[in-house]
Amino acid sequence: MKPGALQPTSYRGNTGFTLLEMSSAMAVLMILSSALVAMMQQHVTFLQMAQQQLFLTSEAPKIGNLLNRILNSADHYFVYPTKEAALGIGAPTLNSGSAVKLFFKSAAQTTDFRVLCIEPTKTGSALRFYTPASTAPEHFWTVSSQIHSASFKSEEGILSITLIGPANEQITYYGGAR
Amino acid sequence: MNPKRNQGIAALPVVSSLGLIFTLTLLMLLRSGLMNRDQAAKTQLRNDYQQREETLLRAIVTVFPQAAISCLKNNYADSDTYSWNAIFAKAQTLASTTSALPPQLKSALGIETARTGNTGDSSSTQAATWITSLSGIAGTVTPGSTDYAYLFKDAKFAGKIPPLLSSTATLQSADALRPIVSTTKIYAEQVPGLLADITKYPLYNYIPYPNIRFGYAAPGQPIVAKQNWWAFAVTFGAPISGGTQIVQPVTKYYVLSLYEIPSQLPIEAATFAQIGTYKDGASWNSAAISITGGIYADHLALTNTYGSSRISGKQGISLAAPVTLSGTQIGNDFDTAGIRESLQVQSNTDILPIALSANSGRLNFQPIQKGTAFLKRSTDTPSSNIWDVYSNGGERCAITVKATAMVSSVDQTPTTIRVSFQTAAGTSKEVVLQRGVNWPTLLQAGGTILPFQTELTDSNHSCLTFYPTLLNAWLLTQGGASVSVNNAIHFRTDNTQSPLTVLPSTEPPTPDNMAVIIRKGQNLTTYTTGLSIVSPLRIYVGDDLNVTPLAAPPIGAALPASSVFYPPLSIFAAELRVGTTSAIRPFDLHGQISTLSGTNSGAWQPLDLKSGSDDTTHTDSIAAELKPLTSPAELPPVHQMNWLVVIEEISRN
Repeated sequence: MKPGALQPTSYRGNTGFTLLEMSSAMAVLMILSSALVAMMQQHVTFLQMAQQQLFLTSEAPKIGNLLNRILNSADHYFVYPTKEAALGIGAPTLNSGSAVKLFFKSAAQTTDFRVLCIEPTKTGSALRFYTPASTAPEHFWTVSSQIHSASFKSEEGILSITLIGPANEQITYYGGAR
Repeated sequence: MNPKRNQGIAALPVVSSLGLIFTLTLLMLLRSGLMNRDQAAKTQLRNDYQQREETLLRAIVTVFPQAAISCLKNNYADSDTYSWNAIFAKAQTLASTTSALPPQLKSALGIETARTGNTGDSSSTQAATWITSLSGIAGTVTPGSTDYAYLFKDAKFAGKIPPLLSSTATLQSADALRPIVSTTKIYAEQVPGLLADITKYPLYNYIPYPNIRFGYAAPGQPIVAKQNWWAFAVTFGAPISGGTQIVQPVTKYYVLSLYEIPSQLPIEAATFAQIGTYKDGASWNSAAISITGGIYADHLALTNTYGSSRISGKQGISLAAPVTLSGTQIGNDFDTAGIRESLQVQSNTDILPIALSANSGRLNFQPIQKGTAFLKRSTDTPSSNIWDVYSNGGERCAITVKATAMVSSVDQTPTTIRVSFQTAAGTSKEVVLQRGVNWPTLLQAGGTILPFQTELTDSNHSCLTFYPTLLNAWLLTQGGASVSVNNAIHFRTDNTQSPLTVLPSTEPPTPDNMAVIIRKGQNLTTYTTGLSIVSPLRIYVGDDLNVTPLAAPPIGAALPASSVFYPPLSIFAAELRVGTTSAIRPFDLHGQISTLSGTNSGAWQPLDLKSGSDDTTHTDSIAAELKPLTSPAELPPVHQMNWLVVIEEISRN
């Protein structure tokens, strides 16, 4: 075999691609890269949207579950302008307030009350459930700390609890006296 | 190695990695979404269970009273029609607890063929297991009585239940299977909450009014009543459904109470009552008429409160003008949505001094109203039917006086009366008094010591005269028990023995029928357990009645030692008149006033009281100080009854 007979193959294999091949490959890569970037952007956008709706899709159902349990057990309620008014001897209001006092009656003819209120935190607000000091050492547990703000309102016997999420999402829960 | 292939593979990890990242993040989102949907579904299901439970409890308070009445009517006999199992089954049907939408509603909505996503639907067989006694037996309850005290010692119930009642072992066993309401169920132990001495007042004691919105009385305010109660458990939620736990089942414990509340408000009516005006339209004189406490009527129209602090109704309350009750200004729109809540906010309580039972949640207020049947008595011996004895005033009378012969059909002055009464041994005895034989007139020897005489009113109305103060001595001479036992007397006529002289009874009685006059009853202090007079006839109050107080109130009656106590007296008659002469006597009433009229009767004006001289209401001669009972000692032997049915949850802390 002549050495020159194998040269073209050997040359091509060792020295690279033709311009046409390179151009084609680069074009494909660019298309692919563009598509990937677009897909990535779209995916990131999608994730951002999902993240923005996390309050409504993830936190709100949990809050709804807890509120459902609490409100269903209560006999009646009053809305108060502040937590202190609700826990103390303040007057209830028909207007929007930041606390709701829930009354629980029993067969032993006792009436206990608990307070659900919105309180400011470093990152926003928290929805908290208070046990008054008159019933036990005053303590609370947090229903949700991922809210921006909230308000309670009593309209024609219907209690509405409106929560504003971190991205200004709004969700309203309704309940009523027994 | 082939360089071309190496370079080609270089793009694959990038694409694969990115694809993997996309897939994983999407999967995480999907998982998160599924979890949230699951959370929402559980919340919805729990809401669904809660609403089914609420409607079920409301249905029970609706169904229960009729079953209890049926049980009384059948003398507590075993039956599948009014057993607890039947009550719960009927309540579940009424509340449609087994399905989210009843078939009729599905049909109306045109969704009969649609698949339901509600996993809370159950079969009636499964639903029958939801309600159990505290010991877990489906279709039964745990009666609040002494034989079941051991069950209430559990930490879940200790200190959270009402006072236990006592009865016979047979009735207590039956009580677990069907609702027993009985006068033999009495308070067994003096515990806090029973304010009067149970050894003296074991049947109806002085107990706090329940903590409910319907204001027959204020919550916690003592009332004369007995609380029958039964405990049961309700479990909603299936632990396993298709291999997956849906919602953790929660068992709640409830107390179903039936408060027997003897009529005790100043004014009570199971009909339409007009407060503040006479039939001719004239207003009550507010200087002469006062009301302390509450007013109840099925339907109420009110022009002024006259001092009353509380108004309750069943179907409706109409206020002619805004009134002030217990310091709260209330208008006719008090029951309008929003106004009621506004009033509650103003008064800082959910308990308003004006309330309708229809709007008050899990309760049922039901006057036991028999109408004029309350006045009747068929035989001298009490009826063998427990319901008749329970609900008819006439059947509860220990003494019956029956006029069996008159002078003539145009002169209904009795010539023969038969008096039945109880002896000290508990047996019944009858004495026949006959004119000319053993019933001397007032002018004849021995006539002045007899408690029964005859006379004509100024308007020529033939009457049998009753002298309450002579009854005790006469009974003792006849071998009867004292008036502490023979404390209720029933008057009627009977034309079976002398149909030619005794006119048949009519309803209402006519002036031609015999009437009854009560005379010389100023001092009734010998009636230590009170006196009741019942008759389907017209009754005249001939002169002052029950105006002498006891030296001191009974001990253990929950009354202040300084209180002025009069023996309890009740008069139930087809018609009550004041005075027997042509003179218009002033009428001054102290106590309570009620009517036997039923729901479909016309308006009832409580103070339309007529004198004996004519058929006119002399409004200028009527004065009244109407006030509620404040002790079981003030309860007369015969009284009307109300049932208040309430369901309350035993606190789970």
